[in-house]
Amino acid sequence: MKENRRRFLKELAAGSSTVLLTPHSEAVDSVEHFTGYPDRVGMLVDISLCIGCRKCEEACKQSNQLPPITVPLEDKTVFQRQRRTDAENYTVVNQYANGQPGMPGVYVKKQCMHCEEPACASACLVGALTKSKEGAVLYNKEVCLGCRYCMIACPFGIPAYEYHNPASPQVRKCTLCYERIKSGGVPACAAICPNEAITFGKRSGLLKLASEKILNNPGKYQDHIYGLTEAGGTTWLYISQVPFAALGFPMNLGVKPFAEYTRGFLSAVPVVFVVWPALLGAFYLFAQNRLRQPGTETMPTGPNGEAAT
Amino acid sequence: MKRNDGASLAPQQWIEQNLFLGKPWSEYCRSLLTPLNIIATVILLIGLPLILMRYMHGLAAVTHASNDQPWGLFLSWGLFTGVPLASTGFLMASTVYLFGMRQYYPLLRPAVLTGFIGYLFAVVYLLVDLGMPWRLPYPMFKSFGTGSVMFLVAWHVALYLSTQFVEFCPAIFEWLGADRLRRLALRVTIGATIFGVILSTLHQSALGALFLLAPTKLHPLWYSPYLPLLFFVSSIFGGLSMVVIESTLVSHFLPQRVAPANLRALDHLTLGLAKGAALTLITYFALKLVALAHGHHWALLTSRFGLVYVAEMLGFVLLPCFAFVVAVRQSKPGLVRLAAVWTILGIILNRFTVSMFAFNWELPHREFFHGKEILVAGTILTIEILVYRWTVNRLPVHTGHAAPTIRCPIIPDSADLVLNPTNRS
Amino acid sequence: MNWKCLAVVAALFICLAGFQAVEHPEPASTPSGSAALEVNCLDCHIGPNPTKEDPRLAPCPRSATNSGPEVVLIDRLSEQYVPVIFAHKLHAQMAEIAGGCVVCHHFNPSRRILACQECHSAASPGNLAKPGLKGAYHRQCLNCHREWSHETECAVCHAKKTANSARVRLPDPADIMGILHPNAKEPITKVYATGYEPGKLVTFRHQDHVKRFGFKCVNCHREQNCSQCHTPAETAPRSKTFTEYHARCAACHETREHRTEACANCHSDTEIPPFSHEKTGFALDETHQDAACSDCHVSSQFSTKFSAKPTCSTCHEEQEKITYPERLPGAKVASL
Repeated sequence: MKENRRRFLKELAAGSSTVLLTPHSEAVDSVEHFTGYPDRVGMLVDISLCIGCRKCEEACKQSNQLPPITVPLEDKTVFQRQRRTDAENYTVVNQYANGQPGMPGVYVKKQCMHCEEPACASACLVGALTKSKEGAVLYNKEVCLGCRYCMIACPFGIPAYEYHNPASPQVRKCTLCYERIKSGGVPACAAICPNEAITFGKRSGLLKLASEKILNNPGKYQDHIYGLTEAGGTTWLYISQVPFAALGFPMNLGVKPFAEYTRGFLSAVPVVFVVWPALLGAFYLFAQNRLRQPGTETMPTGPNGEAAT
Repeated sequence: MKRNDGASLAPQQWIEQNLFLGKPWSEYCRSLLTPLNIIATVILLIGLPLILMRYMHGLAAVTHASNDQPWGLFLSWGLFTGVPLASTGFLMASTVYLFGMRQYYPLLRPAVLTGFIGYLFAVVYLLVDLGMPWRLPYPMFKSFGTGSVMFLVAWHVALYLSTQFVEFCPAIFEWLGADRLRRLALRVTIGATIFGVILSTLHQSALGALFLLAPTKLHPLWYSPYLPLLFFVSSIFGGLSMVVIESTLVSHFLPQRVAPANLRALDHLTLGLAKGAALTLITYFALKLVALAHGHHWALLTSRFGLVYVAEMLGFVLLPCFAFVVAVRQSKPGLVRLAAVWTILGIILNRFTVSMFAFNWELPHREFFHGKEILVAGTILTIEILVYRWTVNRLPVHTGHAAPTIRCPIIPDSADLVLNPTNRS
Repeated sequence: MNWKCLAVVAALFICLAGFQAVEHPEPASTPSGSAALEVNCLDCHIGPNPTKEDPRLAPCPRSATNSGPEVVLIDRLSEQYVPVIFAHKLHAQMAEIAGGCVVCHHFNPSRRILACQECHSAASPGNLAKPGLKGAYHRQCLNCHREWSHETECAVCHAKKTANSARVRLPDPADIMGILHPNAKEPITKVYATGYEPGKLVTFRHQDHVKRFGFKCVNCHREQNCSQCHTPAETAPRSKTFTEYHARCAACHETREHRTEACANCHSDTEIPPFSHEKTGFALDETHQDAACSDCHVSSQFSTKFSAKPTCSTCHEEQEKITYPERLPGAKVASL
């Protein structure tokens, strides 16, 4: 008895010390959460500063070698209807009512938002749209098929297609002047804006600036930075003195990156590949088994010899 | 007409027998002058130049595709409607081979053919709609966007097309008289069927999953996380209805190509299909209710789109379901056929609504498709029907060949009992 | 501890307390680099012990009308645009209504008013909160112009550079009305009630004066302060001297105090009828009716030289014999 107990205690000691002294693997379960490339840029638009001069449209077209603007800058009739981006206009400025009679209108610049987790990049079946580490969402015209699923997916309705081009139609959208920012420059629209309504910088710095502007000017700005969390966050950020809902901004985007919406379905794909053969193979075997049973080898027939169901 | 019994023929004789329906060239040409053929020719004469225009001047020449509505008739009709209606292949193959209901064998080959042609022409529609159709193979080898549902659709359609081709190969080899190849093709049937069901499950639902990425653009009554499941279930009754309609049309227009035993069995089999259709229709109805409850959009039922939704649910899901049930109970194949047409119309309505009418529903001034797009889609459909007819006229599709002997590789010591029970050879 | 130490400690305490009590208002935005600009308390505070209640600020030596440049030439965009001629004085006068120099020069820690470019560099700003020079200029200008005239076109300030725009023209103050300042309503006739017993009413035909002599507003409204239109009745009108009352009219009309016979030319108990050339003794016939005043009464700018004899030689070859009263017009006109 004593011998057993001693042995038991020895084994217990040996076992537990082995377990305790063996190095364990760290952090077995960690939730994956990518917060974005740290040095990515942002573009902050202070809507209260935009005067609707449309020099950004002009500069963008020049910088991207697009055809020049068709409506002269002095012609304000261009604001009579809301425009959208198209294959020759990567950005447009639209006018909205101020909400107070007699006050001048409010102008909002519209362009690709360069989302943190873009729906278009998730949609593209050849990966023609990618999020660079600088923050720009880039389009690779060498692999694009022209299926236009990115246009379906974009919650802001930005990508435009060259329907009139038979040989090499491309999807067209703001490039965030990628070549310029990679060489340390500033996107064309931010550079030209006379009021510096667009501020270019690191996204993290711009968020602080936007918060400061809202905090230091109580009552002037809406207490919301558009683009902070919309659709998972975007590179372009907006602050405004007028509610965003009155400025044509989609307000129903939620905070979930759009790529998440198809993740559930896609994760079921390998499951189907694995489970269906088993399931269907089972059906096949059941059928075989049923037909093997004595008495079921002949199928009952009807009066004309056809098989009955 | 003569059947190819394996005896060797001179090339010219073979062509005459197998391509010209056993007629000399001049007689064959004269036999082509039928009213339907003339109508088809007229359609082609209008449509083919339009298709040429599309390639010469870009999509804007024949479509009203805009930056707000990038997908038009070619995709709504050719892909989103065409694919669920081409699900006949996997449905009949699993019915006959996997569930062991071998009395449906007469409907199997035509279903596989319909499926194959349906998917083939879905690719044709894509070739017309894609901005750069010559890049169609890119997702296969050049650049992979693996996070995309469209990537899945592309791969699966390509694989499934191959699978359907493999499943149809026995008929082709029979036609060509290549018996060894035929038996080889038969051996992979079970595997191909299972593979086909896997692929079909995934890409039928993927077509619905495509719209999961647009929660803010698709009308809330149709947008649901259950969209892939709804698309898959509707493809089942869509395919079953297509088998009914297609077999009816062939037995009406080309009875000489159908084995008499098959013609006699048709009504009976039609009633059987009705059971499956009714079951999946009521399941679909229930799933739609689940989706409606999940989204909690009851208040939207009274809007304009709500009326479309209610019409779709009651008129095109519940109504054909009851019609199928009544037809089965009262043994009325005619009613089944009517209900099948009604079901197909419902599928067309549903797919068009999701991919076109209810998409970007909040935008003002939407334009859908206009004349040229309809003409081009109609032309491709005409070609599709012509190809189907050409094949049925020549290949042993409806001839109800004796049940083949299949050696299933998984069960080494037996022949396939599904098609080859011990007292039948 | 003896009383000497106590005194020193007390003095120290008082100094410390005094300095602690002084509060400086923070500027709304704190640009970086402010530490580099020296701030001397005595620049603004005079006397000992400024407190919150009594900050003892020295009177600001700047008055908008007296200091600061009249015009500032902004030529940073000289490749594309003619240099901007910024009417500084005018804007300074307007700013005085609002809050003084700090409306635009919003950060001046020292007495010296800082020019915009001393803090805002032309190059891309390192500090995200501080705009570059272009942004600073435009934000100051446009935020007012947008509210004021709702006009934000570049052309309001920037003249496009064309082939013959090399020469820069200084602004004529008269440019403002109707271009930079909305058109003010011009009265047709103003009848003033005066305290002059023999003739209480003065009839001033405003429209006639403007039309006949081609006046621009600033020809007469020279020392007008914006606040006289924009914040009327803020202060009770104070009484003016004789000279002040007659200042604007004196350029052309006889208003010297000792020439009492001329008073009745303008002062009357009834409204004086408008001018008719018949009063001069030379009624205008058809041909002369169409002529402008300046065709006969040649003068380069309106001044007392209007009394020059009218000449007929602008149209006729020979000089007609005419007599013309020696005295100034108005004096003569009213008497006929």
